[in-house]
Amino acid sequence: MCDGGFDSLENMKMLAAQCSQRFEQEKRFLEEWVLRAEQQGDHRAALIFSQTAFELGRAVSTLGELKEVSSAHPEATVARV
Amino acid sequence: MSSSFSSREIPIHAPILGANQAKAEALRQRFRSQGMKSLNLISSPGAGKTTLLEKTIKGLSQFKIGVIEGDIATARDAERIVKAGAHAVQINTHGACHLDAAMVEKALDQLDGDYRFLFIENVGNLVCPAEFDLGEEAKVAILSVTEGADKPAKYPLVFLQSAVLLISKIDLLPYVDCDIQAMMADALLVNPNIEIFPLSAKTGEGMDAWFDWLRR
Repeated sequence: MCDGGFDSLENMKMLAAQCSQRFEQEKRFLEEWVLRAEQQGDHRAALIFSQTAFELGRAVSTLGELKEVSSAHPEATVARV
Repeated sequence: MSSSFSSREIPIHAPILGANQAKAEALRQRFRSQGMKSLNLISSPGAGKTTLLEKTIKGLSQFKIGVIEGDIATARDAERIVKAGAHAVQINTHGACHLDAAMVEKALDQLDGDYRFLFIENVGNLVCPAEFDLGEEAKVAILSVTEGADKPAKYPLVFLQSAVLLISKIDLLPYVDCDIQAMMADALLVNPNIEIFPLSAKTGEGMDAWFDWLRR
């Protein structure tokens, strides 16, 4: 498994949890902005915010799957030969 | 559109490799305090890391040498190292494509600690191992002539970070289409300070220059 540069599974899980939390927060902001843009009649901005919120939702969902993937990857073993 | 819709930055205040870096620095201090020259050997699978180490152990038999072997599976490399006359610990990553400082720390606990040289043979891979500091004094890249001359340009990070490039299997040069001058030129373009030693562990050609570098 190539872990893309994370230095430990624990660190990866911690960062994933942080990202997930922040993405969820930003998604809620964006959903508010969609409503505000609609109220101001800016349908293009509303569409962009809506799409971005959708992508953030997908990212949160993917990050949620990370725990299972990580758990399937066993710890390294060390043995004197 | 209202100006209230401005861009937002999402700060994540944790360096991705922070935990590894801290552990690597502690290991570096440990190696220095014990007078060990620690080297992280990085190459593709099959470039000749283990054969090079076997010949290096025999060539430097007056020194006590420890080797940490990194592989996804099996202890075959460590067994070869022990037969060559050094102490060896085998790390099996069970799928991970590189070693990290925590693995090296764990392996060190099973070695004696008073080695003149500690070689860490990383998992065969030119990509991910270059990103992980193991606390080593220097990285050594090994590139065989059978892999082609274009690798320093295509995988620059490992050559950028290495103090030495060993061009291995030069005894095969008459049989492969490899422009070794172009290989060296590209490596120097990526890293003007890299020292390059073309050699053959099989015939012994060029090995003395490598031994001299190790003794420095």
